[in-house]
Amino acid sequence: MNRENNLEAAEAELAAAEGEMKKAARDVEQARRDVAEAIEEEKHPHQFEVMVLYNGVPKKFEVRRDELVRHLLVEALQAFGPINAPHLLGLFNKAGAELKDDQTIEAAGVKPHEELLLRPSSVRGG
Amino acid sequence: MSATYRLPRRILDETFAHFRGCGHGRRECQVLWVSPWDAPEIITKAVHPEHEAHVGGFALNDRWLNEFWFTLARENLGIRIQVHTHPGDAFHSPTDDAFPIVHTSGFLSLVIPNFALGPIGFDDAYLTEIHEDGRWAEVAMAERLILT
Repeated sequence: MNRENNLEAAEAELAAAEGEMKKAARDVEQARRDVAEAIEEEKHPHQFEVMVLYNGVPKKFEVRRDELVRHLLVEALQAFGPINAPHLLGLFNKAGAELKDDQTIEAAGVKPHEELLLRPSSVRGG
Repeated sequence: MSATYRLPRRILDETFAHFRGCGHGRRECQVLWVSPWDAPEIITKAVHPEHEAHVGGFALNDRWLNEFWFTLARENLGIRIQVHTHPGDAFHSPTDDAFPIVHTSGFLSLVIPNFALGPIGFDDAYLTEIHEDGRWAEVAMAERLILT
């Protein structure tokens, strides 16, 4: 009788231990996913800061990877304004390329902490 | 903002030298008067932009403009007044109105007549200011520029 009881108890302990092992395996898998997401966020943050320069003045702006360049342009025009003829100004990167208004921040290749220029597309006189 | 700027005589001399040396009495030319953001009322430098020009107009080099925008921030400078020449009378043309380098209200644009070949100074020059609604309006030289 005693032996049977001991066997039952041991089997119960084994079952409990196996359950805990399965839970631990799930926890490890979840932790791996969390780490991978954290690494991805570190490499390509969803939201980040950029600097916009206008006539020698730098201002910081928060942008999201999926928002349109137009959104940042409007914010910058307001922050540095009032600016007349906003359609004559655009956002430019260091290489001198004008960012397209209808592209996302990500598609335009904007990186965290990048310096962008708010400036006229053309300066002329006559 | 309607600031009054103090302009050292040597900067006016440099400006006319740029106009004459670059335009040769045959092409328009532009100079930008800049000052530090912590003392904006004192003009400290005349910047001669890279540009293409002809007898009746000019256009800044886009690559130069991009680099200059970084330089301004690095050196804590702002453009206060754009200055350019005309072949004859000084006034603000529709192109001058539409394509200034700075579009914020209070920005000044000075036009020097006769390719700057006349006496160094503001004789027959034309000074105008951009307003919040985008319109330009002439302003009295003495109210906005003091030669020092």
